[in-house]
This record gives sequence, C-alpha cells and structure tokens, in this order.
Amino acid sequence: MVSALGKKSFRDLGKRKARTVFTVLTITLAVAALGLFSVVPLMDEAMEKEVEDSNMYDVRIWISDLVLNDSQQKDLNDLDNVNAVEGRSVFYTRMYIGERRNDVIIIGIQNFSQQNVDIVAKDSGEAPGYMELLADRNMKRVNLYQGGVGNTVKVYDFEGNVQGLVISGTGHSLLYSDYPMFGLAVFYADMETVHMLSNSSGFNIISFDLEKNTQEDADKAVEDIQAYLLAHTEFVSFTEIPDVRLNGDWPGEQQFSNMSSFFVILTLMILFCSVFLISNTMHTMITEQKKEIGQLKAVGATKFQVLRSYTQTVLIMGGTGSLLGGILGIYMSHLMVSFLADTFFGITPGFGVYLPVVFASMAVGLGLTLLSTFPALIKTLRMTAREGMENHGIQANYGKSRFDLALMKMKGLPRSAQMGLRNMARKKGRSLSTILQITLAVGMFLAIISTGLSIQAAVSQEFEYLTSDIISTGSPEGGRPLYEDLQYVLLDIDGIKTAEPLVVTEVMFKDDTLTVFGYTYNTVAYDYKRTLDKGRWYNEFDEQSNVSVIVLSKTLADIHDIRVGDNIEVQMATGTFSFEVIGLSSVLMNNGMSCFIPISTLQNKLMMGDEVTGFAFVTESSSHDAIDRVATEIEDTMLERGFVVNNLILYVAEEQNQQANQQVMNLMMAVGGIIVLITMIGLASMLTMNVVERTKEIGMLRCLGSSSRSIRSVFGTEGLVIALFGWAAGVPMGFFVGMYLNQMIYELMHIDIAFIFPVEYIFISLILTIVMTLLVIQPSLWRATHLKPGDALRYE
Amino acid sequence: MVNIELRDLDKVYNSGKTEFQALKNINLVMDNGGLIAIVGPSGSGKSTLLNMITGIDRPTKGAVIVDGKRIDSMKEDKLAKWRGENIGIIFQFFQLFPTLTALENAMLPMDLAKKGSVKGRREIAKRNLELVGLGDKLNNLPSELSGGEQQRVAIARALANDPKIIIGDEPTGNLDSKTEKMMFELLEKLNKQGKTVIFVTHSKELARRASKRITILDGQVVNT
Repeated sequence: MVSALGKKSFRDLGKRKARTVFTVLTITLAVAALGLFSVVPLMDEAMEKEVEDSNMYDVRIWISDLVLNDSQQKDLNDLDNVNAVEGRSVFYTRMYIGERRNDVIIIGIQNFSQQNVDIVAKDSGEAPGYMELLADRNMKRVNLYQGGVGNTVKVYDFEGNVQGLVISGTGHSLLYSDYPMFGLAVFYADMETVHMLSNSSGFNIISFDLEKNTQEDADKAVEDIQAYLLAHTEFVSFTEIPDVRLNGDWPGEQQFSNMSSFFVILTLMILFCSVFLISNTMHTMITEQKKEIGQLKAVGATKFQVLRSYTQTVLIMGGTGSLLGGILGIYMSHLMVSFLADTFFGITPGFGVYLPVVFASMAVGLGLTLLSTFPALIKTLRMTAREGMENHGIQANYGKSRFDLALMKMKGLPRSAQMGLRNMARKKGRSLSTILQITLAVGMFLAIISTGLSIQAAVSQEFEYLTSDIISTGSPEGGRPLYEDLQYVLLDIDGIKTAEPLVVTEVMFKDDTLTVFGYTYNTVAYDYKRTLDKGRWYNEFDEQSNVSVIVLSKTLADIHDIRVGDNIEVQMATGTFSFEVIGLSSVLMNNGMSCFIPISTLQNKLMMGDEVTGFAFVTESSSHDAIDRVATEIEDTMLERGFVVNNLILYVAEEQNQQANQQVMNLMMAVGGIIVLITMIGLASMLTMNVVERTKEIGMLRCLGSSSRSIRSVFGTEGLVIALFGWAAGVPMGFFVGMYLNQMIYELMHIDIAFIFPVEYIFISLILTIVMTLLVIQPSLWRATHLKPGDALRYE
Repeated sequence: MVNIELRDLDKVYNSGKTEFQALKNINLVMDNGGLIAIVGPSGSGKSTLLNMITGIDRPTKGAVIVDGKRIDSMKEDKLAKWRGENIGIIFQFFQLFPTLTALENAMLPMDLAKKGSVKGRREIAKRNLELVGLGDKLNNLPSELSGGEQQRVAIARALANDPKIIIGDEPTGNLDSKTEKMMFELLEKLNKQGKTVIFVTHSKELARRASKRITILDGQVVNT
C-alpha cells in the first residue's frame, strides 16, 4: 500500500505534463549526447574486425619487379615469426572514365581463391581471368566509376597503348578502401594481366602476416626478409621504406585519431552544456515547487519526508530520461560510426554497442539529475511553511535592484512589451541561467565556425605556396621511370612557361613517416621564400655538391625540439643518412609531416641516377581551360614516348581538398547543432514554465481586455530579450573558445593555424538566434493565447 | 441603464472523472441598474453566475445577452475587447500585476484598449487613484502596498475604461472591517454615478445595503 506522499511522487509527473516532458527530454538529449563518446572505441572495434577479416599485413615491402618461385615464397613463409606471405604486382596507370582520363591502380593477385594476406573479397560476379578485372565497390559509392559486370575498362599499358579489360565482378579490400575517395580508381586482376600491362614478370609488393608484430619483432622480420632476399634472389634494395603495421593500427588510423581528439573536445563541450542544462532544469523545477513544499510542511511533513517524495519524482524523471537517452545514444553513435566508416573507409560496420560508455552516460545522467536537484531542494526545505505558501512566482525583493529600477524606467514601449521586459527580472536566477544557456549555444556555434574557417583558410593558403599549375608523376608501381632530360621535351608544349624536375618520396624520421620534396634550389614550383621561418633554403652550391642538407617543417621541429644547425638521422629505402637542418619551413602539407632536400642529394641517396619521380609545370595562362588543355597535352606527349604519367592539376586538387574539409566542417556543424538544440530546449522549457507559472495572470489580462496579440507580446518580448542577451554574451565567448580550440589543434597536431573570427557570422548567429527563439517559443505562446480565462483564473 | 439577461442558462464543469452542474436553468433579467448583491452558501454558483455575465466562463447551454449583444457566442479576442471596454472587474485577491506600479496597474485596461493618448491615460488613472485615496502611492509596486491599498488599486483599475458595469467577486472578502466599509461606500458612490454594480458577498450587512438581492442555492436562483 503506497502512502499519499508516495503517490504524490508519481502524480506530480502528470500534474505538469509539459514540465515533465521537457525535463525528461532534456535529460534524454544530454545522456544521448554523452553516448557519442562511444564513437571512437566503436570505430576502433569496427576497423579491427575489418583488419582481422582481411588478414591485413603486418609488414609490407616494395621491391622492383622481383621474381620469386614457389620454393622461395615458401622459404619466406618459413622465416621466423612469419605466418603468411602474399606477393602482388601492382600497376599504377591511367584509364578512361567516359571521355576523361583518371588515375587507376590495378592490383595483381596470384590466386583469388587462396589469398594469404590483404585478402580481396569478392562481392559479386566471378574472380577475374586473363584480361578481366574485379571492380572495387567503393568507386560506385563515391560516384567515381559506375561500370559493372560486363563493361569494358580502357586502360593505358606501359607503352601507352590502350587495352580493353572486361569487368567480371566487384570486390573490396580494406587496404585500398579509401583510394576512390581521393579520386584513384581501384581494380583487381590476375598476375598475368598485370604483368602484361606493366611489362613486368615478378612482384613489386610483398605483404607479410607475422605471429608477433611488436616494433622490435617487425624490425627483426624486415631484417630477416632483407637478408634472405639478398642471399637468394636478385633483390638489390627496397624501393620504399618497409611499412610496419603494429597492433591496433589500421589504414588512416593516425588521421582518424587526430580528428577524434578534436571530436572528443567537441563532445566534452556537449557534456558541459548538458551538465549546465540538467542542473538548470532541475533547479527551476524545484524552485517552482516552493508553494507546494510550504503546504506540505503546513500539514505536518518533515524535511526528510518532503525530500524523499521529491527525490522519488526526480529519480523517476532522471531514470526515464537516462534510459531513453542511453538508447538514443546507442543509435546516435551507430549513425555517427556508420557515417565515418562509410565516408572515410568505405566499409559498413555492424551494429555495435560500447557498454561502458552507455552505462557511464546513463549513470552520469541520473547522478547529475539527482545532484543538481539537491542544492535547490535543500535550500527550499529550509524556508518556513508560510514563506513557501506565500510564493507568488516573483522574488520578494523585486523592484529593489538597480536592474529592476532601470527596467521600470524604460519608456516608449507598448505596455505588453514593458511587462515582458520586466518579467525577465521576476526570477533572475532562472532568466540568468537561460541567458547562459544561449550564451553557450552562440559561443559554441561561433567557436566551431571560426575553427573550421581557420583550418580552411590555412589549407587554401598552403595551396597558394604551391606555385606550379600541374605536377606530372610517373607510375610509382610498374611502368617506365622518368628522367630529367624529358623536361626539355615538355618545354616545347604550347602553353608551358616552366618545367622542372621533381623527386617526391617518403622517408622515416624517428616514428614519423615524412614526405620529402626534392625541388631544385631555384624552384618556381614552390614559394619557399614565404614559408621559410628560420635559417635558409639550400643553394646552388648545396645542390651541385650533393650536400646532405634538409629544410624541415616547423611542426616536426616543434615536436622533436630540433633547431637550425642540428643533425638528424633520416631512414630512406636505401639506408639511413645524416642530414644537417639548415632551415625550418611553416609548410603544412601532409599535416606538417614534410621536408625539403635538394633534388640531386635525393637522387644520389636513393641511387636514382638521373631518374625523377615527376615534373612541375607553370603554365602561361592561369585559366582552368588552358591548364586542362596543357595537362592533356603533357599526357599525350609522354604517352607517345612510351611514358604513362599521372597529372595532379592544382586547382582541381584545391577544390577537392576544400570539399573534403567541408565534410569535416559538416561533422563539426552537426556536433555544434546538437549543442544548440540542447540549449534551445532550455529556452523553450524556461518560457513554458513562465507561462505555466503566470497562468492566472494570463487569465487576468484576458479579463482586462487583452487580445491574443498582447499576450504574445508579453511572453515573446521576454523570450526574445533573454535570447538577445545570451547572443551578446555568446559573441565574446565564441571568440575565446575559438582561440582555445585553435590552441588545442596546435597542442594535439602541432599545426600552427592563424585564428580567424568571421565578423559576418556574428550577424548570422544573431539572425539564427532570433529565428530559433521565435520557433521554440511558439508552443508556449500558443498555450498562453489559448487558455480560457475562467480556467486560467482557477489554475493552481 | 444596462440590460443584462441570462436565458435558460446551464453550466456544467467537467473535471477528470467528475461532472458538476454549477448552474441549472437560470433565467434572470437585470435591467434597472442598481447595486445588486448575489448571495448564497459556498459552492452555490455565485461566482459562476458572475463569470457568465463577464464572459470569463461560457455557458454549457443557454444565452447571455448584455445590452443586446450575445456575449456567450463571441470569439475570445472580441469578447476580451468588449469586456475591457464595458466591464470593470474587482477580485477578492486583488490580482494586481506585481511588476507594474499602482499607476501602471490602473492604466492597464486603457493600454490594452488603446484608449486615448498615453498622457491622457496617465491622467485618468491618476484621477481614479486619487478618487480611491491613493494619490500619494502612484509609483509603489503592489508588494509595497497593504491589502486594503491593493484592493483600492484594483478598484481604480476597474474604473479605467469608465465601464457601465462593475463586477466584484467578494471584493471586500479579504479586507478588515474598516477598509471593507470604505470599499463599499465607494461602490455605492459609483452606483449613484450611474454604473450598475453587481457583487458577490457573504456579508449579510453588505447584502442588506444592496438595492436588489439575488439568492442562489444549488445552482438555481431561488429569490430575487
């Protein structure tokens, strides 16, 4: 048998339906937002599963067309710590998509039905035979290539002849899942087909699955592999630094990790807003109960009995909100993980639940609800029964403060607007906390926008430093290598102003993979003068004497505490070499993981002779049509000479980069939107409570002859003015939080970005604040104007 | 003189599971003006009857006609406007707006009806407050006034639009005897000025002083 006080705990929920709904909704959204902390571990889980399913490599080496017979492959498999070996031949060339040419990579697989490492899964059709291809399914997903089974793909072979290959089916592989997103078409073929296309006969990539893949074990395995190859094959050296994948690593994991650190900060901001909102809502709810608490005390309830009754009500609301929030959070996390996995990796993760976060968010939601109620409840319990019963929905000292007097002195407004303005000061605590909520919303919105725009501006500026219009590169895998003197052939092409040779490769420095740009000392393809921060650029003497000098990025220098004049050890495909740091550059390419070495020094260290990896061109005209035409002519000229080149057109790359950044901005806006939604609910909740509390007054206004319009004006003015105060405070908050986020980017990723605070967004945020305020207060206004005067006067 | 007619009036309140008939088959005509008292025991339907006349509540059945206008079928906004211009209401618990001064409370009905200029409204409100003896408390908030003073502000507010009808639902119920006497004398004065004053009271003495008495029992008029 439940006592009357116990029944009250439940019935109180139905007595103020709007308040109950808003309170539970607030807690639900706050807890659901906390559930977003699941995204990172769920993403890790999904990718780890993909890695396991595809038996992804632990070590991968690049060699130059090395033939290995079955016995040699078996010997490699028998090496210490090696579980499985998979040799592949990969050809990087150009294909036709419609009438335009596009980069393509074709991966040659020995035996589709018996793959050992980096498994390519067939999704439909048949495994490819000779002159057939399996199309990667992610090309369709990103609208790169729509061809299906039976379609013919035209690709250039090593001599520049067009070959037609028929698509036999579709498949996918984790290793190449993100290539199509960056514009690179991906197909899988049998080895014979790839050998024919690339004029090769062996492997140029070998992947290994190890039993133990710590850094030490992997390094030892690489040594053993190298030793075996040197002793038993025609192997001379690796063409790229061996790639080691440690436990927990997966393709793009580092970039995702950087992004997710930022994402965690945004989620923490949501947490802060949620804490604030729950606290404010519960405080308001309890304060509203003062009269009832006074009445309970008058009929003999002890403090403990009252506390227990209201705690039960709060527990029900908190429990319901937390449970609903937990469920919603699971769904929201899944949506976020699906979006990220599909957008960046082309995989469809299964439905996952990260229980620790789910339980923690529910516990935090319930705990916060209770904790935030107690201060207000205890304060209210301290007042006498008389004080409680005399509570008239207005502070006892109203009219005494300077703010109240200032509001009362404001003239020239219609009476209803005056009343709305003064109503703001009736419950200063409630109004202030609502203003603070809106301040948070506006501040977060502006901070997120300014951070996104700062990043976009930094990226755009980086493209400004790349002063060439076209960069042509030879096939990194397969195909004929380019050589320096080809630049003179290319200079004859109409529309080309300058052509200079270029070597671009990857090296290891400590645990970081760096991109090295080997420009000539007097390059016009990169504006080094604007990016040089300290020291100097290399000169003609450095280049002619092959001195081991390097211009390092400032990002790397900050991470590893390197100064101009220091010597560093850099690991290349051909060995480890010492370089003197002669300058520091503010280059942001590759997130600052870049450096510059004289082209001749690079060629020397990599034993390339006069080979280059590509050429950088500046065109005479900067119009896009002219650049496109020149790019096509470069490709055709090279094809005539039997060279297959891939053109990077800088204006296209810049547009694609901005599109990719826009996706990140969209993600940040989505997170910002959640914050705004949570805080706007707080505004709606406050206004609804104000309408409920002043129901009798609304009845009175009707008795005195007030129209619906006047009543709307009273509450609408209050809501709008509170929102405007919140906006005004939110602008400086957005500035400082934006600066903080900028600093966070530097701390986490060592990328120095100039902070931009867009003035036009201040006005956009004002318009958005007004529009959203007008929207969220409509239900409250509707309630106020549709109350019947008699019912309103009788309302308790 | 104002003509008020209640014709075949029923009023039923629905509250959750229960239904309560507050007024049954009321037929009443008040066409001679005067100081009219509505009396009866608690819960007999006195306040409900007043609410019918003011349009605060609408009848479940029947008609309310004031000066030839069917007010029970008017739309809410139009009814509120009519009420503001034609009726001044005084409640037992004053119902002043806590953020408005005495002067502003007294001006409010004129502000809502957009009557005259702001200066003109201020003058009328000031005059009404002086009439009720609060000429020196124009800028005081309700929280700075005693119960009697607040009720006087309520009366001044009721006079704002110079209505033909003054309605008081236990207007002296919350006042001490001295203030009650003062209030009633004011109502008598307003009646002598030609306004119809209808009030609900539990006080036998005040009921005796009315020019007409209407007795309600169990939702029905038993005596006029």
